Amino acid sequence: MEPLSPKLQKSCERLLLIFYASFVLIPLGLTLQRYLLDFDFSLLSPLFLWVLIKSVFFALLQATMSVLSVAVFSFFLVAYLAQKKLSPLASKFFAASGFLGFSLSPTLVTLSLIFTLTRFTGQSPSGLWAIVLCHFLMNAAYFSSQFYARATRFFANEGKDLHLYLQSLGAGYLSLKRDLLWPLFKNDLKSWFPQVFLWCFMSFAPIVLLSAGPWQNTPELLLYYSLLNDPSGTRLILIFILTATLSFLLTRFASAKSSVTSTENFAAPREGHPETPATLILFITSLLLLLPFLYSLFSPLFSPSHGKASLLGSELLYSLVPTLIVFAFTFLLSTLFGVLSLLCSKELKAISFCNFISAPMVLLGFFSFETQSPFSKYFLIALGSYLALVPWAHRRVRSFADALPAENKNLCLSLGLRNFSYFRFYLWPEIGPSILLLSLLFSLWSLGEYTFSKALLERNSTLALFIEEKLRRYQFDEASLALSITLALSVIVVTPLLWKGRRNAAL
Amino acid sequence: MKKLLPRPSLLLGSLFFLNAHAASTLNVLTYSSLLDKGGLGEVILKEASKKKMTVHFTTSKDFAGILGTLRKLKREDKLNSLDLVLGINEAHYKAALSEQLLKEGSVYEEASFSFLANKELLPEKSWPKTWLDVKKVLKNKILVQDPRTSEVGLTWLLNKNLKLEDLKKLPKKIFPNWSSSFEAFETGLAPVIWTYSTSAAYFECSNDPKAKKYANIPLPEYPKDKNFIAYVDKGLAPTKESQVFFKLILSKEVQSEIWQKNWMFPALFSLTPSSAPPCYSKVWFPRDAKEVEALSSKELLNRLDQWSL
Repeated sequence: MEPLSPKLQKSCERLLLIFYASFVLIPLGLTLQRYLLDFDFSLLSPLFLWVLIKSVFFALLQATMSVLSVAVFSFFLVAYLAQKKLSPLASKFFAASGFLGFSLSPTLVTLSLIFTLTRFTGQSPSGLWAIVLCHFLMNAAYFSSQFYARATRFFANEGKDLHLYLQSLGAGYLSLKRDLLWPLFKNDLKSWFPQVFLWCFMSFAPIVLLSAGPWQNTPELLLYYSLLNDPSGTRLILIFILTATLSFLLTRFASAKSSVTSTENFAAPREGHPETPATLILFITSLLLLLPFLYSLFSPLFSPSHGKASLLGSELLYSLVPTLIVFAFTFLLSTLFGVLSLLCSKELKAISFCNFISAPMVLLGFFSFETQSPFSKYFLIALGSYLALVPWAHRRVRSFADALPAENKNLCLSLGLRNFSYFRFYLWPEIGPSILLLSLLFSLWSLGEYTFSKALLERNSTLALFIEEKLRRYQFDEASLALSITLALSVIVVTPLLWKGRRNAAL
Repeated sequence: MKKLLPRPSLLLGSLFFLNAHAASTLNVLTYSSLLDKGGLGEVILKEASKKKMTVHFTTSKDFAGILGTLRKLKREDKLNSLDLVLGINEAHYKAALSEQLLKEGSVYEEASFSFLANKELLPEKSWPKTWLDVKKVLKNKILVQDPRTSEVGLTWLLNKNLKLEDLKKLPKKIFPNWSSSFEAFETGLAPVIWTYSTSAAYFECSNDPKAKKYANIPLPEYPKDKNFIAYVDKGLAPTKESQVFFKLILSKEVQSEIWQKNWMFPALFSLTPSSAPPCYSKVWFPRDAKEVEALSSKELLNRLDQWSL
């Protein structure tokens, strides 16, 4: 006997499936069907096909370079630090800085990078190197802190004796790294680099904002551009098929290989004083990786008069309000569907299977709901961006629920807890905080929502669009204030996630 | 509960309770800079309100120009949501006619295009004298707009004086729209911008001290283009309100404001600076400007593919 009635579980499952089908699968299917009816082969010129192939090549190139830069950085940093005695504070600061870059919306990371580099160099960054740098900022600190944690644990446990043994055999510094650290790193490469590669390959806002020109396309970007510009659905269908196939294959490959887990405990040697050079290097590295965010966050302090004047202007407030509405909607939606997923009897494979459907693909069907009312548009933006995350969120919540010990269920049953009382007194206190933190993470990403806002709203309508427009126009004071506000909001939201235990629960 | 579940339409319906404008509102699609503060959009709205009309402007997004927006709406069977289009250029207008997105419209303003230089960053003595010089002198010094999303950018792509490879190599930066490119130019990002030849008149006529700083680079045979107002092809005769709005745009009240509100040549007065306000006479305009290449819808698409390659 189950504490939740099968009827309730079935209802929740149906509701989830109907909802996902109504807003993603059916609109997408109907749109594709309509476009297929108007298929016109003459629009598929060899030139267009070449543009398409080149976009795949560029996506692969930038993703490979991004992953390599993260890998090289992580390996060398950890090779240097793994057996050093570090200040625990510096280690925690490094982990926190990594988590910030990783958890911020990609749009915000990109805008912070553009803002900082333009201010320092006078030139707006663009091109392949800028895209790679942006992906590096998002991933490097987080994954090197993950690898660092695993390496320190290894050297504190099973690797300790092995290290001493190899040393006694006269192994040098380089051969020790090669024989001990490299196998560990190779294991890490296999487990989480496919996932990083997938994220970089499907990256959207960094490519839009940092590409050097229209010839630096990715299939995701071509799809988005075609959604808004193509004379018929012919090209759109072809780009959709290509994008969906590639992301499906990469997602399958990544989920088969990858096991991205949350931060593990550091196990740095505790005896003795921390080594100053190593601690300093770690501290400086963390600061450098945080620099774009810190600079963007505090920049209005350097020009307070301009900042205050702009804050009072209605333009910034006009974009702040919709951003907060989208934030609130995302939080509510995410919590609601988190609860529905929790109440299901099992993971719904039909939803989990769709994790290759990215935001531009959801948008393809989503235009059918386009509306003139701003309030409905904000809701659609929150809904659309959340729908792209639903398969991942559903899987995550189910993994929390499935991890609950069976004996606790029996105990609840023996105490007479059923349905609502079971949910209220056991399920929610156990998993509710994780669902809320997950919702908080999604809401954090919604602060920099770009794909849906750009397609549905006017320029400047959200903080991310406002900052983008101001940066394009080189109006730094206004961009600085808006960026600072958005980052401050993000830091407020991210703070509860910075405690390791909570972060582990959410991720 | 069970009865409710198989009805997603209820769910959808309840989400869009705030949808749509009142039926009497005239929906006009235009480009975003028309609605800039102090621009022609304000004049049009004022004149429309005198005629007791409610006009709602929709602007094309960064990723899609006016033609892109029309195409998207047609693909989704939503072309009915618009009544008129204001400010579509000739190349796009012809494509829109052939794709049955628009009905025959009328030219309401004209423009020639040119390089506008910042004399402090690029002194007059180093300006190019011919289009061959342009390749040498202006490489990595020009701000242009993306032809896929900006009509000013499209004239850059259809400029017959330069080869495609030069058109792609010369720009320092490509912007999705004209407004952002011009503001970046004013901050000194680059010494030259590809823009309307009337941009220089803006500084002269508003007695801006920057008038001394900015000037058009005189070159032969710059491209020129026309902007159209047209009814959206909904398969129905245009409404009375649409007709009134159409006439309003071509009326003397609105046309006479185009010189200094939209910084274009109003069609009513033709593409001659002689009938322009006196401040226009202080500016060099391309008098031998050539019409941009006339392309079919597919040729245009092909050209844009070349740009994206």
